[in-house]
Amino acid sequence: MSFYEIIVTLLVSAIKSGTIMIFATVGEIYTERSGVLNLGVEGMLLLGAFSGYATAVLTQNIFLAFLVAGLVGASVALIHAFVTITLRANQVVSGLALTMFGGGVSSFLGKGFVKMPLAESVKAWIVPIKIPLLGDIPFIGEILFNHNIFVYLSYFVPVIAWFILNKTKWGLAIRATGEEPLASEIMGIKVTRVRYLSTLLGGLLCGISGAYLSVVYSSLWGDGMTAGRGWITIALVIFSNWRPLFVFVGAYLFGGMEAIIPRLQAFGVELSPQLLKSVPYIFTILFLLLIQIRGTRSNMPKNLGNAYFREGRE
Amino acid sequence: MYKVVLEQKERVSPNKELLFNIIAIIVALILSGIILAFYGYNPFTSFAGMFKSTLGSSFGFSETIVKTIPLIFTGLSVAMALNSKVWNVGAEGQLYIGALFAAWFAIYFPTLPKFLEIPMILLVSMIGGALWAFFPAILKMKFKMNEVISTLLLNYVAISVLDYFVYGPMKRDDNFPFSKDIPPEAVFNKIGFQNVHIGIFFALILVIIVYYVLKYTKFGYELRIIGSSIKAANYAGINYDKMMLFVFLISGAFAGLAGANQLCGIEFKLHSHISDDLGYTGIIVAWLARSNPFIIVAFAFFMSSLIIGSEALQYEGIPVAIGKVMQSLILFSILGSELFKNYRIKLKRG
Amino acid sequence: MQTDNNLIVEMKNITKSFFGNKANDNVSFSLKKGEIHALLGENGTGKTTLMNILTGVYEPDSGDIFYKGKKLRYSYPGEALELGIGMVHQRFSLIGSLSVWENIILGNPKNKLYLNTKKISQELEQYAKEYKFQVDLEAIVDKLPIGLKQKAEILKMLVRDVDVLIVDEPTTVLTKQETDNLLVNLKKIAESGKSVVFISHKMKVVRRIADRITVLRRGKLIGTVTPDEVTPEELSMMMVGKQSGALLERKAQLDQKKILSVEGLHVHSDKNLLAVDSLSFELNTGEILGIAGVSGNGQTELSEAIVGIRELRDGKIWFKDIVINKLSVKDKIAMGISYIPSDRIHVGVAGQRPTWENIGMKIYRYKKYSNVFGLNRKMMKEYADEIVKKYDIIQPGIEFPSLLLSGGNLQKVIIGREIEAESDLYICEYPTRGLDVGATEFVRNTILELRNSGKAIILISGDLDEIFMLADRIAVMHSGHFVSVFPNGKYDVTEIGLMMSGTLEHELQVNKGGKNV
Repeated sequence: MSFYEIIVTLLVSAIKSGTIMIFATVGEIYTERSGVLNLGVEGMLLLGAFSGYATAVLTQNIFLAFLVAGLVGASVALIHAFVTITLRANQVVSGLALTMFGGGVSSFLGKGFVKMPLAESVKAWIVPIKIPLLGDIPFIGEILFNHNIFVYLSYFVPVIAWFILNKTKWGLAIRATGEEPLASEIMGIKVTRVRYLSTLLGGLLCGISGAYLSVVYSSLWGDGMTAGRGWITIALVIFSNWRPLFVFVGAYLFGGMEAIIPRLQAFGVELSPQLLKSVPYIFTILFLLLIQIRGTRSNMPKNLGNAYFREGRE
Repeated sequence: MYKVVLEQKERVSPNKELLFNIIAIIVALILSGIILAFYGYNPFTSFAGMFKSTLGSSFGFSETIVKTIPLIFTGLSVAMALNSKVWNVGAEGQLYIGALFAAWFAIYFPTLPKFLEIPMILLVSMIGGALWAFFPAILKMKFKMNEVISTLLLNYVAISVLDYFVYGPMKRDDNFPFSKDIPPEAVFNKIGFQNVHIGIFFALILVIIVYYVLKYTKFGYELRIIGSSIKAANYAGINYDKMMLFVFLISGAFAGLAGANQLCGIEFKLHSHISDDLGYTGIIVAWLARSNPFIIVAFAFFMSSLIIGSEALQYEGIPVAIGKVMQSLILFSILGSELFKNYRIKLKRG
Repeated sequence: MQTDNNLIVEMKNITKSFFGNKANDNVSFSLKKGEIHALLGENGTGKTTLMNILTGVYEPDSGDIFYKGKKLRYSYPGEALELGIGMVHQRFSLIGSLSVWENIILGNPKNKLYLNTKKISQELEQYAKEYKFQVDLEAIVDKLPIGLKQKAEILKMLVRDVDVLIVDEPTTVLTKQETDNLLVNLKKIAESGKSVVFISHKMKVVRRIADRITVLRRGKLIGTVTPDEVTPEELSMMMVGKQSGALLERKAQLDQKKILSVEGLHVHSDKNLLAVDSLSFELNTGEILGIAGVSGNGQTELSEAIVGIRELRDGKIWFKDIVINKLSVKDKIAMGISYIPSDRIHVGVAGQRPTWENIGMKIYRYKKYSNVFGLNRKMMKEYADEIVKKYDIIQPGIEFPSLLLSGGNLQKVIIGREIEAESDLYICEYPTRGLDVGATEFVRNTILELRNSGKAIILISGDLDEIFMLADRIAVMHSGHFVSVFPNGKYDVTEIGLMMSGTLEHELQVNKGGKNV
């Protein structure tokens, strides 16, 4: 393989694994922008991964798999929404509980699916399809436009989110709610509804990320297979400063890291495989550090993580 | 037409709160039963099985106590941090590093007589845990990094560091990913009831110390002020940053002790599964106990029986993950009960 | 059951309690079309609560509201605005990180799903011109000065085409000139047929603008009058109930010494903007320096810097001839600096902690109360009991959380604690804000007493009367520095008002000279 080919393969797989993070990170941005901190991403990813895989195995329909995963993600997000928005409970604890719940339920129900393979008809949807013309552009075409359809779909997700958040009245309502729920409510925004919907949308996208991970990316289901990606998602939200378009940067950087680590040995780097496993986590922390040191104006919603009670009086 | 109206009220008294918590736990158990029934397992025989394998037999009871010990340590660890408004979700990782330090000291340092060796191991494990807590603490203090994320990510790093040692430098000769056994001088004595070891005394002594320090010292008083309002603490001349750093380190040290306990009390060698979520369960214990050290003991025992009980269900073909599901349901259910503790609910004609 | 067609709002027998305290006790209020109706009363008398009930933010415990002849029943708070009742809140209901135009259109049912910035801006410009409320629509609200924020807020309500406009204490954040402007605009709005509710505790302003005045005291309705019906004295009687008692005499101070000097101080705000800008002054023992100014001009940052809670960027502070820049809060407390903060419940005390712990916050480090091994809880509780008795603090018991105390009693906890700590410098920030008459009188007398006993005092207040009453010297603060420092009595309200908006002392002289010619 020439150096050029190595680079291309590397970047292609960076995009492939970065895609896992894209749906979920954008989802969490919706949720957090409305003022709800959902730390249960890991749990939603696991449930999405499991339910998507199980559906794909049982129905041999990959689109149904994504649909089910999305709905499962949204319905566990509903638990978080109910507990934190309606019951006004602590969002950190609820998120941790959700993580545990997702891990437990997916492992409990997923036992039978561990060694079940996907049908060929399902796998047929995962093969890369080169886009005519665009795919012929040297380098860029090879990297961006020679993927499976789910990667192509993921290209639109942050762009649509950017449009919704910044150019529509829904987005305005979401942003206003995360900043000043009381002021928004006085202006006629239905804060509870906005927060519920944003949290559900976040869960939906997390579920889809999970299905992508199990069905498309790994084509298998394993207990705890997300391996902390949920937490990296939450870090990526901070890294992208709550702006959807920047999710591309963070997700592909992370994807690149995942792509390069298994290939390091091929490059002659002799490092313990156990230690290499920790590299993405360490890098995520360093990313966050970089953000804090650079000290850019944070877009973090002012009321992120606070329960809202209108009649609460200081 | 009637509608539900909420009114903020003072928090309920501790007794009422306990009652609410017990009700919430019962609700969670009922929900778990429904899940079990839904998947074709008989919930009644399952719960009976859980009871039999924990409180129902002398061996089960002793195993439950053995599992309670590390949960007291991790519970205290999380509770300590919570006192200064810090979420230490990293007790899991700190436990691993504490165990690593303890094993390294026990195996590679000249063996001391038992009465010196064990205190030294405890000390070394505390240093290990505190070291692992130092990173997120300093990141929070200097760069305002959210500690929930940093401690969690560091858990994964801690596991791979431990893996590196048991697969690499500390691997024993038969090529299994285990360390060598620790010397007998480092092993915690049994107290004469099955596998229960002297770690139980260490845990209870620590509970008393923490209770005393929190209630009767200047340090505890300052922590209480911080717990209510960081601004008021700064105003009163209490240096929040310094206190936070210190408390974070203590929190890590406690989690490290849990590691030493697992190593010297039960496992006797280092391996990748030395914890199995004890750190995460510690969060639940601390949260349920509202950081009260004595109540931590009670909830540690409760969570332990849940874990041991669900492990026993495996033999009936029920996946062990049901334990995790039950834990999370209990958390959700207690969270839900917060509503009744903080608000008065009224029906109103409207 | 509506007989007077001219009435647009009628609130009958409204009662609302928080934590068992009645904020509104059987209050009735009515509003006519095209009138400016003032709600007058001291701080904390339930004026805002009453209007929050009218706009649906709070739900009344009992009582009825009629709007345009129909009984009002809200199912969500935004409904008020849809029906045509808009309120400009004291702390504003603007969202700081959004632009002015985004704030104005937020929640407007006329919005299309896609927000066409250009078209929206054009429409809004139209409104701004019509009502002469020129604001930069693209500006981010956080970056606007407070006067413009208010304009944006009122514009927001006008765009929604409200029939009832409620403005809550609109003049507290404005200079005298800005206030005049606002009053003219409000009159115009009323003339166009809209009704205005003007909430204020300032009698003079209210008398100037209102068609009718409703006075509240301690949550109860005292009466509704027209400005011509009553003399200022009668009106103030209605407000406070009794004439305020005499203040302590101020003793002439002998052998005053310099105790504090500040030189070239620079301090940043929470948002990392320059809040105190090369500020210098000196303070003597037995002296009260009153700092007048619109709040948000760096007063809080200044006091926090002296106390040590906030980092200095530049400059030097001497206290008792020692440079204290680098000292910790703890060291400064030990040296004798006391601070009575404006945010009582979050800064002044740890609200959820029992009162005895809060009273002990300054003395617990003394050998008498603690050592390495323990804290003498019994002694601390005895001490708290003493303070409670000495300062006549009404409270349910020292074991109960301090947040259950009323504003006045909470302030007594803080003041008692600080006085007993026997400091030499007291920084009092808005010490009577939100207190009732009795408590206000107590606080003011305490401050004078401290002065007479030779302590140095910095008094930060938004209430010029209070500053005139207490201060020996007055400093006018505007955008981070002192416009001028002068002995009390040199300038009158109008002149200080001008300085509060940034007019320099010598410019003032010129204006005066001009008038004389």
